[in-house]
Parts: sequence; structure tokens; C-alpha cells
Amino acid sequence: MTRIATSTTYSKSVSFLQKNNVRLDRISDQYNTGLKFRSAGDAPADYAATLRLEKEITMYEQYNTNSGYAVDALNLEETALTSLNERLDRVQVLITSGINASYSPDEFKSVAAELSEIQEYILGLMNTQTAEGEYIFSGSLGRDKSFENISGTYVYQGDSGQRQINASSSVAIAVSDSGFIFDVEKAREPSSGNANVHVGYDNYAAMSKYGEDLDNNLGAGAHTLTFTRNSPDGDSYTVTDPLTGANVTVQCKNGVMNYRGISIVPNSEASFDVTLSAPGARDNVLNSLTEAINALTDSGLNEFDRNVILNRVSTHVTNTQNSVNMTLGRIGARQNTLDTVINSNQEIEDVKKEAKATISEVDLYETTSELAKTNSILQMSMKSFNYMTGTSLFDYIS
Amino acid sequence: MISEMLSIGKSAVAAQQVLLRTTSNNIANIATDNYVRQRSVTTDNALALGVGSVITQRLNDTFKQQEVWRDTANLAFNEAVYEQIHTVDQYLSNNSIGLSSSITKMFTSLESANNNPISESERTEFMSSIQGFMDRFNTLYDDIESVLADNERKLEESTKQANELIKSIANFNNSIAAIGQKHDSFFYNLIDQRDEAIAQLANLVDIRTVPNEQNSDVVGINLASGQSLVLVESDLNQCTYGHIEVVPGTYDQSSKELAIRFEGSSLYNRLGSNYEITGGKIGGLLDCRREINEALSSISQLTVSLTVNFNNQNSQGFDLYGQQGEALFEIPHSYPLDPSDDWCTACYGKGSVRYAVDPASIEKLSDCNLCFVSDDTGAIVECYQVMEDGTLSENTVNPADYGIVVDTDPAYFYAEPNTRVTIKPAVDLARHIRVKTTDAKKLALSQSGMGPSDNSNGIQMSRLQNKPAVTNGGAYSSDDDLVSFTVRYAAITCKFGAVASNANISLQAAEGKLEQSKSSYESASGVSLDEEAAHLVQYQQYYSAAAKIITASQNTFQSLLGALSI
Repeated sequence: MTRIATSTTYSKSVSFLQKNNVRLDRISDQYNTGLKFRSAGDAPADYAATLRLEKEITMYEQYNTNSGYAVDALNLEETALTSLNERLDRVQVLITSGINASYSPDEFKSVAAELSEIQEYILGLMNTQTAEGEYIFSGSLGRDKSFENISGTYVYQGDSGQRQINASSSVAIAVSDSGFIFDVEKAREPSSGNANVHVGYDNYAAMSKYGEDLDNNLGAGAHTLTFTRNSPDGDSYTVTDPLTGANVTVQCKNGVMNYRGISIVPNSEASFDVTLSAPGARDNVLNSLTEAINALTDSGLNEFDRNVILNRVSTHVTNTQNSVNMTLGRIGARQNTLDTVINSNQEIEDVKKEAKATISEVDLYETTSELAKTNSILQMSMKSFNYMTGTSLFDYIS
Repeated sequence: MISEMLSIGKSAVAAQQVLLRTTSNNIANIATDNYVRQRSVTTDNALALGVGSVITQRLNDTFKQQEVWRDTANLAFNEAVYEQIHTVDQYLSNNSIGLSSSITKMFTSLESANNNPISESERTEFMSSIQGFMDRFNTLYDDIESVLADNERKLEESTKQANELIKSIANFNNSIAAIGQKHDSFFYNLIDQRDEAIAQLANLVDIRTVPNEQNSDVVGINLASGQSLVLVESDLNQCTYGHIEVVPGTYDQSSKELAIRFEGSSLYNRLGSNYEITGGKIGGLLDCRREINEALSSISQLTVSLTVNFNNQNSQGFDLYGQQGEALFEIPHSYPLDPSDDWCTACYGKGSVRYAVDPASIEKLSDCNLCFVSDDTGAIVECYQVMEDGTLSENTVNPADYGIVVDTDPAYFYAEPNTRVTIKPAVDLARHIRVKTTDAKKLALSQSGMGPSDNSNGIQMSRLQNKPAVTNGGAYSSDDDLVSFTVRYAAITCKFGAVASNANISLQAAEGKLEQSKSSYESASGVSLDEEAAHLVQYQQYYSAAAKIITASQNTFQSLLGALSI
């Protein structure tokens, strides 16, 4: 039989009480904080996992903010470009009407006036600003106006910079396009070295797209076509086709020849050159509009030369619309990517939150019952302390 | 017959008085620490009738007592470790002290700045987040350092206490030896007091007692490793005793070691940093220093690496002034050195090693300490990595593989002949890092040649968050060793948390073990009040009975006198 020293009885009971108090304190902590552990020492690996998950959850919240910002930026750009496109549709209509020979000078002026208003409006769209006043089409120079009129010419003030936004840890999405999307290729310009020979665009071909087959196939650099009169009456000319290399006879009707989108008034010259300017000259549509407005208001200009200018502007407007449409397409693609990323971010965030909860948070029902259990165990130890120490032989001897 | 009765009664009364006195002494000392219960036994008289002699025994189980002392040392060891480790664990894990959330904050505010690079308010938020990170780091660094300072103070105090106890044990031994073996309560109380001093010493260091062969009441004290603390001379007249001192480490003066010097001798015996003193509060204090220092090195490595990476990235971009980006953090001792900068000269040992962090190979920066060994001319010839257990690496290493550049100018690269000096690059580089600018415009978000709305460099900077950029502890050997900053911090807290968790488990085990051995010891040597109450009643009755003998002899004598008078 083990002999029990009095001090052992006390110290053991106190130790039980202490242990149960510690347990109660810990469970009460869990109950009140909802967390399984207080420091890494309580659950090292789980704590480390929680830290990583916390960081990721915070980052995904930030990615949500970023994505919201990206959505706003893309929507603003989309709105600006869509209005711009609509205005350019109107420009095309006006230009087509300007090619109408039956207009009086006053009618030309009223067309010019409307074009001038549209030009102002388009300039405004091309200088679109964010709520914070940043010019969205200025590339990385957002504090500067994108386009400015410098002594009669509209000049791009920005650069080719493009804003990227992190939509997730791996996806960066471009949320801006620089003003270079408005810097669009102009029509190739045909000209003649001979003062008697007028060169312009074939009306009908030019309205779709000037000299498309030549544009696409002729390649870089300027090209010169030499026309030689076949007979003194000037009914036809021979030219070496730049694409096939074969000699081609071109008929001249009512004093006008149409060849591969080029319109020529030979004025019975025996031989002359037509030079097609090198492709790739670029400018923004604002300057073309200025050109069209000037042509429409210049009463000294004959119909042929006015139409040459208007056709050239029309091609430039078409090309600009193509560029704007292409940009709108890219914006749409980015918005799609963004939608996908936002959804997957949301799902990943939910998964991570759930994982974090599983690792670090207590089950409320479990904790509540554990709390009650520990509390009654503590009460039992208190009672047992009383039993163990309450009686002494000294109480019974007199 | 009457005189015999009287003398029997007298011896009986005297004997029962001793029994009662022993019982009372037991009851009186119920609350005395380490009091060993005594029991008096009577023997009959061999030459005459009556009680012959009363011998008082001290019911001590020395085997169990030594077990209690060992368990006491073990508990004190674990208590000291747990207290310090737990404090640091709480610092690292605390959401408002730990670094984790402040690192994340830097990157979220960087994202906001990237969303709107032209806006100063978002940039300002980022600048305050890097200030926030630096504040956190400095607070954490100071907090952990104050734990180390507290550790050192406790080490000094405990050593002082241990020395007092060693001295008093030797003095008690001398008194006990002078009295010689004697079986009475006064003598036993002296032994109790000596044992109480031993128990207190066991609380400070793990000790072994060595009973003297000629007089087992006199005991010598050794450390568990065998080193003597109290030495009993063979002639028993005098004990000599040692004096423990806290001294700077031989090779790393910042790490404390213990040395022992015997009274009257000038010879110091170094006990090494934590190999020879094990157990007890002192052993615990020495033991946990390594873990805490490692945690400090690790968070320092993380901070140097993070700040250098931010500086490197910022200097590749252009700020809102259109200027090439500058350093966001002021990192002293950065190679190549500016005219305003200088080598880091912090070096622990008798010699000089100067070094600087190499931002070009910052991924190699580790939390390891390096040790330089000199030849007999004092020139430094070899460099080793200091391993986790404090020993040196098997092979020599190249400091360049640890992300630092060492100044090998012999004027600054030497040590006392045939000795070593240690450097702690991470800790000593990190402690002086400050935020260099609060100017939000100096955050270089755009890339070369671009305007203020560009955020290309900012996007690159935000990639630092998940970039494997820092070694996950230990030396760099290939890019496979690299992890991101968040993973690194999680690994540091996890590693330290495991240490804290182990300390907690060991503490609970030690508590349980001591409780068990104490109750087992006390079941033999402790006082039971019920038992003493029974003895009290029993011996009172014996005393009354013995007194009755005297009364009876008196009555008999009276009867005899009465008979005679007739």
C-alpha cells in the first residue's frame, strides 16, 4: 500500500485544478476567437499554411479591386471608341455627299460646317480623360493631352505606353491603348509629273478601298507606271502592268482612263508617267478631316481635284474605322478574359477561404460541447479537492 | 523493585517525550520545503529494565531524492526554454507584430499604385506601407533582442544564485562533517537545510550528488557531465567548491559561455556554450539562445533580401520626376560602396573581418553565420559556415556564395594567431536598414523611356511577391533553394512554432514526471498529518501509561510507607 504524504494530496489536487483551468482557458479562448490556435507553437504547420492562405486571400481581394479597375478602364475606352466609330459613320455619309457634283457652294459649306463640328467632337473623344483627369489615349504620358492642335495640325502628344493591370497572380491584362491606334495608314497618292495630266482615284473603287490589289501586291516603295498613247486620237494607251509584267491596253472613254483604281485624264499626251506614292504614310483622321473641310470650302478647286481629296479622306476614314474596330475587338477579348479571371478568382478565393477555415477555425458545436465538458471537469476537480483535503484525523480526536 | 519501577517509568516518560517531540516536529514542518519526516524508535535496555535508547531516524530515500532533483532540473530547463521560446513564438505569430501581414500590405498597395500610377495618393499609401513594414521589422527585431537581453540577465542572476548555493552546500557539508554522524533532529535539520540548497541548485543546473565513502552524510556535487562543483576532500575536514562565471564565447564573443574556477585556483575551465551544462534553468537559458538567434537571423535575412530586391527593381524604373529610380530603402554596407557608405565591421572575436551585402547576388544571402580561421601569423586562411548546432561546416566555403563581399585587404582581414572570428551578416546588415524616402513620386513604376502613366516596372515589382527570391534557410546552392518572401516567413514561423510546440510538450512531460517522482519520494519521506495525528494520540497514551508507572511506583511506595507506619 502506498503511503500518501499530506503535501502530496494538496499539490496533486492543486495540479489537477491548474491543468483543468489551463484547459478551460484554452477552450474558452477558442470559443471566443473562433480560432483553433493562437500562435505557431500551437500548431506549427497549420499556422504556416494559414499565413500563406491569408496572404493569398488578401491578394485575391486586391486582384478583385484591380479587376474592377480594369473593367472600368476598358468600359471607358470602349464607350469612347464606339462613339468615335458612330461619328465616323456620319463622316463617311457626309463625304459621299460631298462627292456629289450637284451641290451648290453653300451646300458644300454646310457639309463642311457639320464636318467641322464632328471634328471637334472626335477630338474630344480622342482626348478622353478618366475621373482622375488622366488622358486614356496618351500612352504612358497620361498627364498630357493626347492630341493637340499645333499651328493647324493635330499632333499626338503621347507615346506607345500601355497600362497593364494584374488581374491575378499570373494574368496581367492591358487596360489601355495608346493614341497610335488613331495613327492610321493613308491612301496611296497617285500623281503625274505632267502638268496636263490629271490623276486621281477611280470614284467607285476608291469608295470601297483604293487600289486594293495594287496596295496589297505592289509592295513597298513608290511605283511609276508609264502610259504610251497607241494612236493619235488617244482612244487607248498601253501600260506595263506592275503585277503581271504584261503590256495592257487601257481604253480612254470621254477623256478619262480607269486603271486599277486610278483615274487618269491624259489630255492627249503622247506619253506620261503616273507615280504611285509609297505605302505606309500615316496620320490621324483629324488632319484628313481638316483637309476635307478645306477642300469643301475652297471655291477655287475644280470638281476632279476636290473629289481626289474627298476620296483620299474617305479611304483614311475607312482605315481609321478598321483600326478602331480592331481595337474594340481587342477590348472585347480583354473583357472576356477579365470576366473569366474574375470568376475564377472568386472561386479560388472561396476555396482558399474555406481551406483557411478548415485549418484555423473551430467547429462551434464541437467547441461549445467541449467548453461545457471542460467546465464540469473543473467543477469535479474542485469538489474532489474538497473531498481529498476536507477531512483530517485531527478533526476527530479530542 | 520500587526504585526499578521509578527508573523504568522515568526512562519510559523520557522516551515517549522524544517520540512526541519527533511527531510534533513532523507536524510543525508540514509546510517546510524538502523537510524529511523523522521517526523515533525505542529499544529496550540490555543492562537494566526500561527503555534503553531512543534513536531518531530520517526517513530519506536517497535514490528517489536524486530522481526528484534530476526531474527538478529537467522541469526548470523546460520552463526556462518554454518561457523564452513561447514569447518569441507569440511575437512571430502575432498579427500586429509579425511581418506577414505587413509584407502583404506592401504588395496590395503596390497593386493599387500600379492601377493608377499617376495618382500620388495611391503611391503615398505604398510609401507608408514600406514604412509600416520597416517599423514592424524593427519592433520585432527589438522585441526578440530584448528576449535575448532578458536571457542574458537571467543567466547572470541564475549563475550568481548557483554560486551562493554551491558555497552554502560546501559550508553545510563542513558543519555536518564537524558534528560527525549523530542521530537527532537537530542534526537532521542541518542535513535537510543542505538538501534544500541542493534542491534549489538542481533547479538551476542538472547535478549529481556523490555521497562520501567515509561519511555518507557529506555529499559532493558534480554537474551531470562530471565536472565537480563541490569537492569533498578525503580527510573530510574541508570541502572545496567551484565558482561559475558567464564569459564571452571564445570564437563568437556575442554568444555566452560558462566557465568554472575553483576556490583558490586561477584556472578557468570553459564549459562550452551548451554542451557541458545541461538541464536546470541555466541549461535552458543557454539552450534556447541558439533557436532565438536563428529566428532573428532568419527574419533579418528576409528583410535584407526583400529591401534589396525592392531597391534593385526600383532603380530599374523611372519615377514621377522622370528620373531613373533610386533606392527606396537605405541599406548601409552595400557593395559597391558609395563614398558615404562603409564596410560592415561587426565581427565577433579577436580580429577584423569587413564585409558588405552584394545586391547583384542577393538571392544567395543566407541566415547562416560565417567563421574565419587564422594561421599562426594571424592571416585569415579559411572560412567555414557555422552550422545549426554551433559547429563548423565540414568543408571550407566561399563568402561570395552567401551574398556578401568580404574586404580581403590584409590590414582589415586578420585575427589573433590560430583563432577564429565569426560574422553574422544577416543580423548585422538588417539592423540599420531604414526607409530612405517618403516622397511618393520616387516610386519608379514606369520603365525606361516611358511616361508617368506607364506601370511596366511596377508590374515587374509586383512580381517580386511570388518570385523565388530568398533561400529557405541555410546556404544557397542552386535556384531550387529559393522561395518567395511569404513562404519564407511562413517557414520561419513554422520552424519556430515547432520548437515552441516541442518545448510545450517537453514542459508538460517534465511537469508530469516531477509530479510523479515527487509523490513517490514523498510517499516515503513526506509527512502525513493523519499518520502523525494517530502517532500523537498513540504516544500521548504511551506517555500517560509511562506516567502511570511513576504514579504506581509512588502509590506502592506510599503503601509501603503506610505499612511501615503500622
